[in-house]
Amino acid sequence: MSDNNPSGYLALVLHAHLPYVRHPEHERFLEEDWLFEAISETYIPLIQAFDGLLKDGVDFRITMTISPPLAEMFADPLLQDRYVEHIDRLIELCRGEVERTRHMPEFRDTAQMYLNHFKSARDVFAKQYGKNLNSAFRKFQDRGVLEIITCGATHGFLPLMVRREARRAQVAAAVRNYAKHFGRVPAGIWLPECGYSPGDEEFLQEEGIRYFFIDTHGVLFGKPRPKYGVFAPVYCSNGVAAFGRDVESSRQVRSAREGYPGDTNYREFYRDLGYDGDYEYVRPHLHPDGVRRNLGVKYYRITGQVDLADKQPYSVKAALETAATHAGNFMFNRERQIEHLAGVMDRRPIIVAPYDAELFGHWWFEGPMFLNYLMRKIYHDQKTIKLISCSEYLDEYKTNQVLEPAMSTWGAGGYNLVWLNSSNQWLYRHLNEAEDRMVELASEFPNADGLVRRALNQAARELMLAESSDWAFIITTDTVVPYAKKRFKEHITRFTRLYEELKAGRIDENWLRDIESKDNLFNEMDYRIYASEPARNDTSVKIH
Amino acid sequence: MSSDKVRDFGSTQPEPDPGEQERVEETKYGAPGDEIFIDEGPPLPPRYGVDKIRLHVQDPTTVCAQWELTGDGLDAGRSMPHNPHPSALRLELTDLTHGCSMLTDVTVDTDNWWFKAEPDTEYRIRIGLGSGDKNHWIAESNVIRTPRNAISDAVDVQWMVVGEKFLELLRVTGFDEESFLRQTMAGSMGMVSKHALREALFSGAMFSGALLSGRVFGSPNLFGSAHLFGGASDREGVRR
Repeated sequence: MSDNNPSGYLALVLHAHLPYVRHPEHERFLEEDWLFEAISETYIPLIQAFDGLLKDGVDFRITMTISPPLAEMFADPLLQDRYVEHIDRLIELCRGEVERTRHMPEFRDTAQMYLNHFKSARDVFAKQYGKNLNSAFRKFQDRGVLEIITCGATHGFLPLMVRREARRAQVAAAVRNYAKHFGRVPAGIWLPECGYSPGDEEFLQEEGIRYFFIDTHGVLFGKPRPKYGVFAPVYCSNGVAAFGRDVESSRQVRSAREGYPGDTNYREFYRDLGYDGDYEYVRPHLHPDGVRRNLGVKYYRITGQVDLADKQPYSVKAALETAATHAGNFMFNRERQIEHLAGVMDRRPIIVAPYDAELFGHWWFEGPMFLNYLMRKIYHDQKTIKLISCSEYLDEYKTNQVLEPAMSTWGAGGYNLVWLNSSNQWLYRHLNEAEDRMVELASEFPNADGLVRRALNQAARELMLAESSDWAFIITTDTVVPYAKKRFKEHITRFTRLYEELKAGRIDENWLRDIESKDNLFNEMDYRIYASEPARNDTSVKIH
Repeated sequence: MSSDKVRDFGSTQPEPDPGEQERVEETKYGAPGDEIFIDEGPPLPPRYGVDKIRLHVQDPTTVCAQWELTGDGLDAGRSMPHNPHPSALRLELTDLTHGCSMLTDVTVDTDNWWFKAEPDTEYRIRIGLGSGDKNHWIAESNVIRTPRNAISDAVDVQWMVVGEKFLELLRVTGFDEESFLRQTMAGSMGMVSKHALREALFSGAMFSGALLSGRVFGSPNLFGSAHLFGGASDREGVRR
């Protein structure tokens, strides 16, 4: 059983985020599947793991971002009902699969696993937590095992927002939204894309946020030099703490090449029934356009460096055994890391291991079980390390070094390259101008009410939705680019029309009502969070 | 006054190569083949009717300027007595940290430009029309600061770190050469060649013998200067 006097700590941090995708104008909408897949494969398996740990008396700690768009989608009745329809279709498919594979010993256990998995997911979603997963995560937070942190309101990438007011608004709106869903002020924040620029801590302090996370080089390149590297938090000059990411633990989990998810026993992501199945058989389960796509039912394992056609059948038992082995290996490595650090530090080190939550389950199907095994092993099998939340670490070590962290992100290259390059730089002329205009509107209408207030609040929503870092990311990675462009353009054009109507004093209420019903997040929005600051050197000025 | 600290890259850059984080993360947005519609949304406003220029940081050594100029702004410039070149815009990137600047002329149909820059340096850019040494500036940008890309040579007296221990912490952090180059901009942006990196690391001028026997984990810039364990700061820890 883990010791009350450990040599050091491990903080597991999962960043759960998806952009706000909700299309009431369509009966079914392909990109809403991003949420539904993540619910089935990541969020519910995590909830099941946490519930199991609590039931078995395992004392664990984990930190999770639930980004405001994700929290809003969890709470949205339309998406809740659509998820139930989605999971019902999968259950129907898997009932057929159990029947189809009855005499196929290499596949039937896997088919049964999927049927059980989707049925239990439906129960957790609809029966146990009343279709709102915020209530599940809130329960774990209230039990003291999960620390839910927030993120930028719409995952806006702060380092490329020219206006301070725009950066402040992303934080302020996020904190208000967090209070709505979780009934308190968040202790911490995951800055979108781990993107930090010196000075951002001001906005966090204003909102009562105690800490944030930063990439490794953000701490290591801090000024002055960090005494403990990334193995202890540092304070910014205003007392907000920054926790640096540990490279080694990230690489072990995240890397498909060197890390655990690439093991040959794990499920192959790119081999799916949606492509493998007889077309007439899978057709009823595809979207109405009939195009073959992933259905989330996959029968093969990674196997090795072979063609997709040569992949071998997946074995649930072998995969879970491998996940348990990897959990043991991860724990062993952290123990050795902590023992080593204890020799060079005069306090208990903390290893901060943050990951994209959707890595676990969606990309790495066995990931939630890996976490489950890991937290059990840490509790039962050793005394060197203990799981901790960042708040608890700050409670134990109230005195920390003060330094100025360096600008950094967790994207390729460590800075802004992913979100600013030749493919997506065109986004920023529109975003930056809209940010200027939103600040202008907030100044021009300091105390609006009625229709004008609704238009101003909707303008703030449209701007924030356009700011989602997901659009620039998708364009860079060249995945679903038309959708990203469409969303960005829709939000900018809606914002621009609202701006022009507000300036002209003629608001089209019918149109406003229509976009309020579509882009309906943040009903607590107060556009005055964009109130202008005294002039600084962060704006473009016209000369003469 | 011009400087060799800044150079321009022009209006385009090579496409970035997404990293491992991106390859995992992109799977949550479906796949390119998933898309059926080619509707890329309504047209964006072609112009906003403003004279503005903005500057963005891409990484420690690259910054990007974007601008919009109105006909009024340009007409005012063209009417100046020194008769600026009518078909070119002039950019002046100023390094506020070192007090130097660079002029670049670009065609009037250009609306963005990439510059090579120095880490940990403040910049501002102006745009206008120019002819020879005569300039008519129309708009001036926000001020940006490029990120540091080196371990600071400032050491906090109250949080003094013994050199060997700091190096050990870096090793435990996993900062070998390969991971450093992957994890930071140093490698991908070509600030430091691996050859130059090794030359500096193994010259003995910068590091102790203990380091030389360990894994290579940094670039010359990583440590900023030869005063690896020197310097001081008046920063103090705070108690919350």
